[in-house]
Amino acid sequence: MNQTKEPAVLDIAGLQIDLPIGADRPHAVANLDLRIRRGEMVCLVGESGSGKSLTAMATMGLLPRVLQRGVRGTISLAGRDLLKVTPQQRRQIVGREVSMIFQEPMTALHPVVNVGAQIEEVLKIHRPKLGAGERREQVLAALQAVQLPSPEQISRAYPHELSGGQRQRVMIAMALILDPMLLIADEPTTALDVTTQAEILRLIKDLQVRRGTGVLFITHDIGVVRDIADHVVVMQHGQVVEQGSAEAVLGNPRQDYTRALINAIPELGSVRPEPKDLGPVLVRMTDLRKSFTRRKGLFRQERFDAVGGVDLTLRRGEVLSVVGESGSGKSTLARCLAGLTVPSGGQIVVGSDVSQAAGSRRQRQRVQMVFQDPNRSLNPRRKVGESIIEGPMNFGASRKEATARAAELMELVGLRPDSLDRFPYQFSGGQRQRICIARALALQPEVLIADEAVSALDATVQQQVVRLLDDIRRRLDLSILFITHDLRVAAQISDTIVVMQRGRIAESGSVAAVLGSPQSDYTKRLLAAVPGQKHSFTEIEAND
Amino acid sequence: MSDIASPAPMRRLQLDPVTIFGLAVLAVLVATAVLAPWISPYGPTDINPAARLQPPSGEHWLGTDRIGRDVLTRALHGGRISLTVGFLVGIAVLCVGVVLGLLAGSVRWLDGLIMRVIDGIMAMPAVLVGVAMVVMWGGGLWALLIAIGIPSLPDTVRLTRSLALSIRTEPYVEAARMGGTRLPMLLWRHFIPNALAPLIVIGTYVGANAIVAESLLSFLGVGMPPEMPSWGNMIAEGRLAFQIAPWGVFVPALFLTATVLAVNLVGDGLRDSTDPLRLKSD
Amino acid sequence: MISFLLRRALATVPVIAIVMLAVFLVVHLGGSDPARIIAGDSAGAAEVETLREALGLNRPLPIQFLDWAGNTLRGDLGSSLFYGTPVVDMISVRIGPTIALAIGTLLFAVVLGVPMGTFAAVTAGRWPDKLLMGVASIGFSLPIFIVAYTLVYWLALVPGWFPVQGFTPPQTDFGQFLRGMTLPIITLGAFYMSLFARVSRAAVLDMLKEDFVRTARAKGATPLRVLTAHALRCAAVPIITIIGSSFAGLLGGVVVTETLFNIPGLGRLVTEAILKRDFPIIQGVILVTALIYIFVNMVVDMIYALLDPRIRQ
Repeated sequence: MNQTKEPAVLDIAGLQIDLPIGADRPHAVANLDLRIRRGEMVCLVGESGSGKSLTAMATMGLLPRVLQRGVRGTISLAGRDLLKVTPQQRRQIVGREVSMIFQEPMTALHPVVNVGAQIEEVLKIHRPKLGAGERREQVLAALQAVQLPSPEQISRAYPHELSGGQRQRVMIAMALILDPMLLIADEPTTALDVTTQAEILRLIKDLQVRRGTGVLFITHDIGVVRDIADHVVVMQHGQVVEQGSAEAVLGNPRQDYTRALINAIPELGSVRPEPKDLGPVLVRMTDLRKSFTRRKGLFRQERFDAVGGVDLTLRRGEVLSVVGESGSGKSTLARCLAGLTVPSGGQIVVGSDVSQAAGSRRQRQRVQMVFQDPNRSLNPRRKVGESIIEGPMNFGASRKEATARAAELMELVGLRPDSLDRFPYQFSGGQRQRICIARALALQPEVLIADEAVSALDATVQQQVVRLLDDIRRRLDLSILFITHDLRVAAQISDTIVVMQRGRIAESGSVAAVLGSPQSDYTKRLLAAVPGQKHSFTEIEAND
Repeated sequence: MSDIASPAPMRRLQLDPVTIFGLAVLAVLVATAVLAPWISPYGPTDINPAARLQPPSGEHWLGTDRIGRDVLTRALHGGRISLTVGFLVGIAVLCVGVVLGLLAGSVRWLDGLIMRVIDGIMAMPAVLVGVAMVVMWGGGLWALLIAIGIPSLPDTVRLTRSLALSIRTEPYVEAARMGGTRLPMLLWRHFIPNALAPLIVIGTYVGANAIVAESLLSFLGVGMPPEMPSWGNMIAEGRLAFQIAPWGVFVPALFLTATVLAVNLVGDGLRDSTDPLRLKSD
Repeated sequence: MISFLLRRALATVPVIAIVMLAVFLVVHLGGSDPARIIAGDSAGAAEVETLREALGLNRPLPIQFLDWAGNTLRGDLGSSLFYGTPVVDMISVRIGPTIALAIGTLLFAVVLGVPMGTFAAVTAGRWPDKLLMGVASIGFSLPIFIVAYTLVYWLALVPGWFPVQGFTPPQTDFGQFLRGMTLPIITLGAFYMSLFARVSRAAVLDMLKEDFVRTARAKGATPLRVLTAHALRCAAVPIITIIGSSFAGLLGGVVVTETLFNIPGLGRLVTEAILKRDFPIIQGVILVTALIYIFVNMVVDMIYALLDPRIRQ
């Protein structure tokens, strides 16, 4: 990282992208300067709306037409201004000298063409003289390079037949097959499970170092930045807040915003103090099972256990996090407790009242839930006040009582009571999750389920909502079942952590026990994969 | 983590000029149909053997037919029939279709049954079934309306079913269920408001379709009683003197086309301005 | 794949059963009495009763249905009440012109409509889009007999370029056959062309917003390549769906078109049967067209499976 004299692979100067008239601010990106040298990994970090993705799209020439018109400044790739080239020239550059990988590899790949042919298309476009045999060889070599097992077989597979990690490897193979000088990676691991994320990060870092590719890596996750960045650019509201070497920015941030971003994601070690005395057992699940059937072949059906025999207790006042990767059954478990799914077997008892079947109307009131997607958890056509008082009125409250209570709850969750008369679209994602918490609390539940309730939020907002949940728990003596894929968030709020894998409990215990001295291999792997722990990937560089 | 995270604002219904044009045409058609007896000095069945097959003139603005009836008068009165048929069938199909679609979307064992029946209806050519029903059921207004309506059911049922299936899994519906809201209120508070726009749009297409179907059946001689001045009847009759008096065909045809086009334009406009997908992606 | 094909073929069984039931009920639940129709207006009550017994019409409806369904499955659609000829024979004589008209219309509509919609999608929001979609809106709203009379008046009657009506079998004079089919095909095709154009535009527009299209652009693919190899490839599924499911309506439209142009196909057979209340013919034609529709849609689903590997499972 001391090759200061080498010319930049990418040099963005004074980049400005105007937003259409009527948007919440005049520029999506304003006055952005950014340089990437050969073999350098530059992380562009920021929360949603910071303009980081648009910067990437502008470089690739992929901006929507409305925004394309309002681009100013220069984006030069090895001395050529990408904003001045003709469309024909641009098409010769993208895919060959600069290429890109995206957040969601499932939708970024063509659904009905096998992946070998999709990679081959790059060669067809940029190396038209190559014969079919040579193309085939290069495709297989590219798949080999991203460490996919049996490239022959993978090349004939369709995207839906591959796992998320395999798909992203295919995308990387496609992006790097012509050995571009610059790779743009737009949140390439955000949609992946944490263990897969670690593998993909390692792969990108490895290829970057080995091939000397410049990488513009866009992410919202400071942990990821910590693992891979050489140079960090922090963006907020379309402007660069701070930039510098990774050590400088992460180790000694000069701006409040950077500090807030860093502090929003605590390190795993900073576990909350050993908890107070927990109350009596409130929820007891015994041998809970939920299976689904899938059709296979003409008449055969395949049974698949989403939850396969789980025992779990939740005490009054306890925050219990269920942590696991996609397909671990954690959400199904939550839905069984919520009464939204009927279990295939086992028992759920809430309180001492055995007679109440899970999902009965009475029990529902005692268990309430906050959902993941803030855009869909409120009826878009109703005022939020109506959504909050709906439950209490179902259980006999008068409109007046319910509204008065709703106003109190709005204050409790940190919103103004007059927000009750507004529609969901008038609120930000974080505010909507607060409203959903108020709606859940309106029924005075004893158990609150938060099903990935903060996953869709930006880190700083995430932290605020987690604090709010913790605060409410303390004030109302609630029990919280906190479902998450993110061990770092779980560590912030939980008393107890349950790690699930393929429908079963891999490990459970107090936060300190599970995070401090994990017993099962799976938990160890999960912990090792959490981004942002100092051990990072420096070994790779040392090896090369 | 999209960079443009501004939530889609719930826009007021904004209609483009084409839709407004459609609405205006429709309004004029409705008004002239309602006011037909007062607009025209002739009755729709007034026969004037002295003035047969007359070309358009000051006296008969759009000419006369084979037995000397005023074509414009009959066309205006035909509007009453067509618009009524379109409106009634549209409403009826919407009601029945929504009920069937909701049942299919919520009761598992009924789903297979209803959807196979819908597949069956889709497999049969609407015109032929309509004709067969009217013929075998002895004509009559009800048989006609049913014959026109049933072939339009599949689209409404399928749309309602898919809306029910997708809205049912929305977190806000699950939250309401957890809040103790029972099915009728779930439908009223959460399903109807969010499904209304696409349902109204499909209702306009059903209405337009019904107007065409009525005229087709009338034209084939199995629709409205021949003495009624429906557009289809007029075209069927005008056809016999088409070479001498083409206005007998073209005038009702023009009214029919204008009506259907206007209804479709309004439907397209509503679809484009209320499409939930568009609201999301804007 | 084979399991998919088998499952798809099996799925037609309940639909065929329902169509048969519906066809049966249309005839037997109505107020009119087939025996009365056959016997004619002059027949006395006793005569009608004898006939009813002879035809088995006094048996319970379910028995009658099973009996009729059994015959139908064996390929016996009964005989015309008026001519006494087997319905199957009458249909097979008349089906040729109908098929020719249906296929011609479909070709016309697809060949014009799909490119129209695709071009409109590519130029979305600009004048070619508005022009093409305006044309499609009008075509979508024109009732077919209006198109027919307009065409006949301006292209046949006044200048005499095309025959006003009638049908020449292709084996007699192929040129004359084509000339005779032109106006009927345009008449019926105008609506379907507009329908396919609207659907194609929507489908292509949706696909152009997809992530994989962005990936193709990021590869440096030309706009033409992005459109054909990526967007159209995926838009094909919804477009083919509409083509398949519009087939029933198309066959219904053929009936009307044949009446308008005096083409001796199934449509004319049916309209003649209507006047004589000759219900076995009506039943038979509905059944045959429904079977054609079911078959076409089965083929369409199998085409999907070829186009889209996700469906095969």
